[in-house]
Amino acid sequence: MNKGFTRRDFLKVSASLPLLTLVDLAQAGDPTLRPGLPSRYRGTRATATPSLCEMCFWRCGILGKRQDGQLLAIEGNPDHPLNQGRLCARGLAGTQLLYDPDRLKYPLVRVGERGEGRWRRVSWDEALDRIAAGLRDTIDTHGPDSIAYFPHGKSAAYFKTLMQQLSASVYSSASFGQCRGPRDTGYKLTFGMPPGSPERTDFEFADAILLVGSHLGENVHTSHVRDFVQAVSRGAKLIVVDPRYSVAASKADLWLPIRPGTDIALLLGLMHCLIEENLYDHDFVQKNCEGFTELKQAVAHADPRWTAAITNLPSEQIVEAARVLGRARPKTVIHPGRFTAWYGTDTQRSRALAILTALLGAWGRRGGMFLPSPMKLGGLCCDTKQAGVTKKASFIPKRHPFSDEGYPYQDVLNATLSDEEQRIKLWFLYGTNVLHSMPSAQRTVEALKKLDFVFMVDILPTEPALYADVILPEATYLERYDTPINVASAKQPFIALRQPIVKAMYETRDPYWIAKQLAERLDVAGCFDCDTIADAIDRQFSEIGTSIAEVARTGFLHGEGKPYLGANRRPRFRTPSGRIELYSRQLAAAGLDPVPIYRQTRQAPEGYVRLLSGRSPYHTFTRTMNNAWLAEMAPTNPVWLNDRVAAAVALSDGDLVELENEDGIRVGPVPAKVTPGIRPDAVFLAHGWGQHSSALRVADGKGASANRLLSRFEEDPESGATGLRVNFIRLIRNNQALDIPSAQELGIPPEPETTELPRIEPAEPPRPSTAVSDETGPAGWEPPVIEEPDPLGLGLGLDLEGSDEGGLIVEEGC
Amino acid sequence: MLLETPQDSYRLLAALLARPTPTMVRLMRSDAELPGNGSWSSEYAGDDLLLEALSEEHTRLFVNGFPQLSASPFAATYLDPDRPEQAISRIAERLHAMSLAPTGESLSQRLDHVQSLLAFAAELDPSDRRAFVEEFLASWLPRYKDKLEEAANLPLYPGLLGAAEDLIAATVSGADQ
Repeated sequence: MNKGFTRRDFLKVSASLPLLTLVDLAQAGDPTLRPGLPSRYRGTRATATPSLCEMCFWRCGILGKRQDGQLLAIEGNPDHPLNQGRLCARGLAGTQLLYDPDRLKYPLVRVGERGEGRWRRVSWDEALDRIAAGLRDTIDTHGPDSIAYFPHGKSAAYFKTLMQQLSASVYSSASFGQCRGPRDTGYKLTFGMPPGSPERTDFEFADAILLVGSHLGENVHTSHVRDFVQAVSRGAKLIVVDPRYSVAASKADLWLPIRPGTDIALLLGLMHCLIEENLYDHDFVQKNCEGFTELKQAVAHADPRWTAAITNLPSEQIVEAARVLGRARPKTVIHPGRFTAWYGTDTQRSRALAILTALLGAWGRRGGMFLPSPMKLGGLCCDTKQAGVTKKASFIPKRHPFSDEGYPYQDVLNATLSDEEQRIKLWFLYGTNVLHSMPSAQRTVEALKKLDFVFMVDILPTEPALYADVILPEATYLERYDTPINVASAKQPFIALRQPIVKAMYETRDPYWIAKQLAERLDVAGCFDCDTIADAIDRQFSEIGTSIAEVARTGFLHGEGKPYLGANRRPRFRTPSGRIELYSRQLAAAGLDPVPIYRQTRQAPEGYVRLLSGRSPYHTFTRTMNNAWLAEMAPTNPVWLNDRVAAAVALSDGDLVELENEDGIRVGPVPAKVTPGIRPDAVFLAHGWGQHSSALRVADGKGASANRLLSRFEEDPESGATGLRVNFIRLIRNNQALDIPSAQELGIPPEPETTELPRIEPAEPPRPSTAVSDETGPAGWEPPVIEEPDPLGLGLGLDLEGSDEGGLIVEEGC
Repeated sequence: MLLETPQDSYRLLAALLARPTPTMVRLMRSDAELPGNGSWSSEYAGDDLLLEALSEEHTRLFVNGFPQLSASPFAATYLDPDRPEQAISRIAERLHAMSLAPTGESLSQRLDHVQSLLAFAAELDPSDRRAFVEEFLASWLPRYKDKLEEAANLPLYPGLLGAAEDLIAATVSGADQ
């Protein structure tokens, strides 16, 4: 820099400045202080405000301790129905997000080239005007379907309303396409409803639990983990299927370190045993299920010997697992999992888990999966249909008939990188780090550079910010209201409120305000008729006879739970047949497997090993990586490597190693975690590390990005989700690739080729449907769409993430 | 003269460290001997260009830095890096003990931002100011100023920080009275 200036005595220099200008400057802004009262005792002035955490999506109840307008600490709310006072490390570290010096503080406009990271602070008016102009120009020139947006979290509902009013229908959610999409699709196809969030697992009364790749304890969902631990402590039998000796596996009665990619074969094998040994719930199946004959036919070949050869598990353990589950029926939790986008056969694997649940009679039963108990709540914003908003079909074809949450990311990416004139021209990123949550990061960078306009709303300057034309700073969860959560997925349902604990810092704003401001500039503000988000929430509460002020006192409302089926409760499922569909005619009509069939996944090329990825208990994706406390607890992500493989390549625990995938993308180095607790044909790397943005001083350059290595995927044909465990890596040390022995060289028999797949035909004509009239069959069938009027009055019409509770109609009486 | 009082000097410094405005550009174009100003600013032909350059520099140094916000403008970074909320709370507690409470825009800033601290210092009685400045500004500002000099592309903000350092030294020694 030019240091040619001279230091001067400021007091003297001040005298030479133009008086009026100085007075103007010195009086700029409002007074900073007001008289207060001195405290007698430190701490007595502290107040506690009940609210909801957002360090992950579990949304535990918190108490924010505040004094003099400053947040002192966050504690778990002991009265909250979900977590009852418990809070994880991330929840406790929320103060570090609030006071993160790297936070986005003011609206920013890009002043350099995309990727340079040169910004200028601007006023909200300027930023909003620019975005409104960008949206208007794009719509006028190319149409609303040339806009794509990427929502995340509860408050995305407001932006979804805005986009609906603009007739912009193209969106893609990482929480669906790269996470729970296959699970929700599989359960909807089977039960007519997804398994809920929180998952409706009745750990309290379970006698047996099956986890397939679901590592509770690392994926810390506080109440879920507590219930799980209590069940195991009480003596519930635990079976964990995972190539890795996870925290959950370490508590298991039976750990099945399965060959990666063969989970469906194992589930078919378990069903085979249950049927062969007559350990399934005849009565439940007869009363509630459709297609048992076809299912029996489909699993006939999956005897323990076949299953063992495919899965590389001992046949006696497969039989033992089936017997543990069958003998405990219906008090068996078959956990549906959460991150389920693995191999591109994932809806079918989720179907297999759902069908296994049904065979055990564990749906709506004590100790199995309990039923949702919806609570009424007023609607969010207005009904866009009533407001005259019509849905416009996008030029992107809908390729996945059973996916009802936006578009697969790969379709949006292709439509952006297309050379056609009709393509995506504008991206709106809301709380979504597309470079670390979506596959094909290199292509994503190309897309971000190619777009006409990019804007984002976020809390931290994540890597995509480098490519944004306008950046809007969002208030954190500690500084804003959010639309209430309506949790039907609890045995005692509840509605809970997020409310500000401290005043929003800097010039950050809540999403309702931002959406309303944009809507007004674009002349579509009809659905934002409340002045503030608090007014909008108050209106929601007023429709159930209470108010925001009333709920704010405790932070939640209880409802009445009806978690189980009973003698006088006859379930009617929102499937085409009105029953649980073990055999799915709608899948058959779409040319897809009507009953899960095992299909082999691609095997590792020579010198490579399969990459598995998952969660760390200290972090939530990339979102917490800049948190100073959490980074201290988990500063990097060691790569789990089998000890025999490590010995073969002369790697010791703690040695630094890089990872390179088949496309030559290299990340790291990270330390090797050498352990017998992972199969030799896989490595494990926790997700979220490896960001490279020096605007994030804590996160920058820490660890290795698992996501960068996910340049390939297998598309799940039912949901469109991207199966990500189809990437293989090799280990690099001193710039040399290590000679990883093949699985066979380490004594693992190769998987037998499955050349002939069983062909399943419907064995009987469908029973008369008892389903609701608009879900009549495969030709015209659409999954229950969340935009539809909600007959139960759940207020879920605009909720991107909590849309699952209306899928079952329980008829009282008989 | 108004600005001969330490109160107005602190106020003025706080204002000069705020987001650049056309008034700031007018000041720089005037004859005023503003610390850090100099011939470099005349290289920007138009006021708009100078304002944009100042805005980018200010954003990079005091708002969101890229490629680096290596000169953190927050006191807690230097005083209590592991528990920033404790440092912030101590500032609030001290103000409260002096019968003052943050309000208005100050609550929207981190209380330990250099600009906030200078603004608070302006509002205190001389004896309170001395203790406050000693604890919450003098203890870290020289280190911060050195980092800022390294990070800055334009001379303005190092110049203003140099002036702040002098003012703080005068307050701590009692020379500003």
